[in-house]
Amino acid sequence: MKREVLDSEYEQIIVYLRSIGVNKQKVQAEMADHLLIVTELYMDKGADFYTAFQQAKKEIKKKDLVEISQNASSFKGYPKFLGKRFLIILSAISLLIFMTGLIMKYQHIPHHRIVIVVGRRLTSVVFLPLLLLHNFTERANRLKIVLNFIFQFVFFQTIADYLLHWKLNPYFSFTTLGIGLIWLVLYQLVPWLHSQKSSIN
Amino acid sequence: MYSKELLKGTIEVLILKLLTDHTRMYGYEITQKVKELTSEKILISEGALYSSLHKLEATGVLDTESVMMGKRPRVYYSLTKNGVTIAAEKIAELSSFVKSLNDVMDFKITIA
Repeated sequence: MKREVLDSEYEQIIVYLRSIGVNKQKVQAEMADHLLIVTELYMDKGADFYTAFQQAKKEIKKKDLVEISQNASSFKGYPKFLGKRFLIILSAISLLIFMTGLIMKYQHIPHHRIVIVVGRRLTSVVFLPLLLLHNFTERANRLKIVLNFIFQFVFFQTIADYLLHWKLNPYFSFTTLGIGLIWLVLYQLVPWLHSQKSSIN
Repeated sequence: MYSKELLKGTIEVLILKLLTDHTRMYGYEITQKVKELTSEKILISEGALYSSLHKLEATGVLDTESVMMGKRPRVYYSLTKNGVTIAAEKIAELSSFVKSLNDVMDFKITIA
């Protein structure tokens, strides 16, 4: 005889998913449904809920569930406004700042170095990585890839600047901090706000 | 069962083809349909299936609808307007690829 999972048993599936970090409402519901169907299939064969659920968990591994959840966040977390139009505007701004710095230098206007460094850094650690990401066809784990790339790049560049005893170290530190904050906002804060909004809905 | 390497790149097309033939489907239903149609030769893992579905949804190819099955929600996937065009292109591309592959390998198979 076919026995359906009770509400309290369904709640156990949800608790399990929460315990392994599958918290996004939609993905959680989807994974719960999948686990539920597999569990019910084992129950149809005569197993009690606990045994059936253990079998379902063996079939759909924890690692896969976590990965599905992370990938789903990664796909949806990528800010949509970072498209082609944004990149064109950003490249124009970077170039404009850099050119302004060069003009300031030849006009002997003070603080031209700051403007040149900002222009160069904007191009190398903001525009170029974004351009690279824009061309990725596979969008899962973009967050991980971009953060690794940026922080490694900025870290090694800062060390190199320090070892070379560049006079511009304070400017580099300042721009590194600024760029770090931009990435933090783009890849942590925006997706987080987005997920909070989704959870409320 | 075929190797992961062979299946890589075809899972999305399989999903698109199934959703072309059926108005809407949910995750488990897709895996079972593929299993049934291929006499259990193609088994799509949950990881590969949902990653593909979520990617296609994020890129605007698929749309989702949450339907209550009693007290429990079930997420159904369907093709968007843009997705219908993309699905047709991807299916045609894969079909052409298999034909070309056949020209080289001489499998002696006929593809519609």
